[in-house]
Amino acid sequence: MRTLSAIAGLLIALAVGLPAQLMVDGSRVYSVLPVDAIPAILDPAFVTGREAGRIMADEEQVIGVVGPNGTAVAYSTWHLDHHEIVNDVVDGIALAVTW
Amino acid sequence: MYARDIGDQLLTFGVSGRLWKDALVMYDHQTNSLWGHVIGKAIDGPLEGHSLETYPATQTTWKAWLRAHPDTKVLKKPKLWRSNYERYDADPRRMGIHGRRMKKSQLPPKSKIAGFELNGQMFAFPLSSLKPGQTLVPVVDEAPLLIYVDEAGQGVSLWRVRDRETLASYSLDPERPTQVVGRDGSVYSLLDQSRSLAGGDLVRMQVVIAYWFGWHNFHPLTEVLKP
Repeated sequence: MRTLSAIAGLLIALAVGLPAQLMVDGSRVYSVLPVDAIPAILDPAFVTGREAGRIMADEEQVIGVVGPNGTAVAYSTWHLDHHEIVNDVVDGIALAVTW
Repeated sequence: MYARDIGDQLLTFGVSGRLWKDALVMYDHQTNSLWGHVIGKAIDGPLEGHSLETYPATQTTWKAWLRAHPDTKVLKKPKLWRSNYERYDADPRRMGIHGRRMKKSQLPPKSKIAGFELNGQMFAFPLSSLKPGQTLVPVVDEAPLLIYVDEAGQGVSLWRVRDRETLASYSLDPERPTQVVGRDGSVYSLLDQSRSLAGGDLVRMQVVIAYWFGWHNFHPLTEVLKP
């Protein structure tokens, strides 16, 4: 199994053209997709909670944050599946929402 | 959730397309350093060794979040999307991209845990051991903890309490089960961080919901707790 994983990792690395294998803390850093193949959000747009009723399901998982001035912001993890990272600013604090 | 600055330098992050320990590796556009998103630390590049400061966040359902924060903003999305990972969640044999197996695991590898650090030691509760909508009072190394689990059993908030007596002085607000009230009258919302609320003796702790195998990749010496 380990050999198969190593071969798979090597094939992936060759396919992506990774120059050298990076090892960190004893674990290999695998390259599995081109950079930015999953697009992080750099200029987030928002709707109000009321407007969101049409696009959000009750059971939808969210990451919620409250800024120091009380501004509440929710990020759907279903949505984050497609972006992984949101670069946002909440009440003046620059935040990276990661999923 | 991280504050995305190191000293005076503001960073923006993108997806590197790489995985480390089965988890997302980010890169910053300013220095091209690689960052492990689970640990919030640069693992390669000019900023290697630097860590991002965590910012308290809550994971819960949209319904519970909206009830607690009726004036919330929501990141705009194009349509009602289901999770890509629902089938992945449901398949106990699929672990990470390599499909490897854990040996002698304390918990089912694909089970979800709530993990946290206390005094340098890592701990994890299996989510299946926590009852939705209730607070629990386990004690770790003489440090009382208060846990809130949302109705879906997926979102977890964790609080450290000063001592046992203080813990005994807190109770759930029967009108609003997402709040606890202390004898001194201080009120804590269990769904968001305490720093916006005055008074009291509860300190919000970072808690991560993760697959056991993914958490274990980073923290092999974790003590598993079963309240």
